[in-house]
Amino acid sequence: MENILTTNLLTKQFKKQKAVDGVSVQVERGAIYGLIGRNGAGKTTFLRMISGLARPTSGEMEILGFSSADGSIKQAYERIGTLIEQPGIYKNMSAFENCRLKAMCCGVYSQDYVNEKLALVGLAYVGNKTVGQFSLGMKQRLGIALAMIGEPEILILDEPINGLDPQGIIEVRDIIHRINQEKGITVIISSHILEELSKIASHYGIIHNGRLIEQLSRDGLMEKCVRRLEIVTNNAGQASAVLDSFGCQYNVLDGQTIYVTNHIDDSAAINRSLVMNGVAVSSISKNNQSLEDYFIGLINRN
Amino acid sequence: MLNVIRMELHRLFRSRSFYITIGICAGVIILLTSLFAALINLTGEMDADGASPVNCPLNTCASLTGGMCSLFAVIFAACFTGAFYSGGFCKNVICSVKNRYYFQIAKTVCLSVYSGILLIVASLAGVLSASGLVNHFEFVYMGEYLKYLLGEFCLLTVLAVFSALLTELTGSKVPAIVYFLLSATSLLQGILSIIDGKLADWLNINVELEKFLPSFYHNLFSPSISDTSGNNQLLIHAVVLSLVYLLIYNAAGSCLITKRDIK
Repeated sequence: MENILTTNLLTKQFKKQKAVDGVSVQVERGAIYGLIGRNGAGKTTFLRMISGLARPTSGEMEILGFSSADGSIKQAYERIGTLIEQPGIYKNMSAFENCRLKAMCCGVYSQDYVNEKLALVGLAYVGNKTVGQFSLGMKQRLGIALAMIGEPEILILDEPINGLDPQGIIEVRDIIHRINQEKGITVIISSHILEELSKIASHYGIIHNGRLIEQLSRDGLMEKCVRRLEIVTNNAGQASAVLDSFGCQYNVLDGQTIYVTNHIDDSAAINRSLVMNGVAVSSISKNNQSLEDYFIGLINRN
Repeated sequence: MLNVIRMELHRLFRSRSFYITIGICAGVIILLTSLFAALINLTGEMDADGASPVNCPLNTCASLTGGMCSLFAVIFAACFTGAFYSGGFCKNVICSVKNRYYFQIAKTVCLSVYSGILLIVASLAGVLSASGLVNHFEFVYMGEYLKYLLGEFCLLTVLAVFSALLTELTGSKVPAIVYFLLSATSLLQGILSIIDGKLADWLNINVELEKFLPSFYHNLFSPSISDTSGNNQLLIHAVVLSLVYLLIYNAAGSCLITKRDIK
């Protein structure tokens, strides 16, 4: 699939500190790209650079076919919707007025258009209530509505579920999913709530200390997260002899449970061999790490 | 660019501070005119120009409206610019346009519209309250007063744009308001005179830093009912200076908004 965004050694330096250090990412059109990293890892700075709010110190990027090398990238920024950090809103105005201002800036003067965007994020009912009276979830949804005005092809969302209650998280997740599926908009989303991100993202970029340490698709992640075979048996000693003959690396936990860390795809053959050697197998299962476990493991190695 | 101007004008007329500052300004002028009227009605004295004060709105209305309008223009410009950045709305729109300097132009347009409306309302408040409160008040020298308003409008716009630039540069409304207070109380002029003196001592050059500030010309600008040719000169001076200043401030503001990262 075509790449809608490509960065090459993108760097942002503040005085002596590199907030983003040579990040090269590729984002496919139509993907939901999850940017994962701890606080201060450089996610926001990276997102600010690709949305045009900050200038890179060095490196190049190409968005929607427009390149920073020839200066044509300005045209790409017009087709990007952003929600960076807190939603940028006038608190003494209504949601409609806030969206109307953005629509006017984009050259759209239809009130129906604004109402349609508000309906998309479930804010059609709020009327003239000022945004200052909104809950955090409503503000975040308004931020997404504002980002959606001007029909962007890429939506950049920085921590959109931060501080939301479970219901709010589900609502925002559904909105993002709907925008991606129904409108075909590519979404780049950062978060440190990894379980939530794992529910929607199709691709992941893991950023740590300003550097991109891994980039992978959901399938790639699933593959990498399969870490061990868990075998529960009545005789761990006898099972060990069988596993040795297979060349397995394993740990016996409590006389009944064995963790096998290689030959994970040979689970059926291992099971058959154990049974044929008179070892009763209560259960054998592939144990997947969560995205969180994988992320922590990766960060610790780096 | 027209879209950005329309957006900012829409925001201008939707903002509460627009109506509040104009309302307060008109209110203060009416209050001051009442005090002035009470004084005139009691004493009935003639002013220095030899004209009856009740027939001469120039010096009274002009000084009232000029001072009050510049105060409110500075405050409003700081608030209007500050709201665009502090609320974060700039992040939504700044990348949606081809050139960021459109926002600088739009801001200048809005502040000139505000200055115009503020001056008109303040003048009307002054003249109408004077005609109602001062005995035998007659509004004469209309032509001279309109000339004064035009010059005042130009200088007021410059002051507002300067205030907006200070707010944008520092990210806070405070420096613009402090600048106005220092300028209005002549403290700034005193500080600059000291710096001028030091520069003259050390570098042997006569800089006169005060002349680089918009408030310097604003303070000088006052109409006269006896010398109308002088008023014409003042008006031309004000218009030309305003255009030069606006050009400089808009260039500086455009550079700032184009080159700087948006927070």
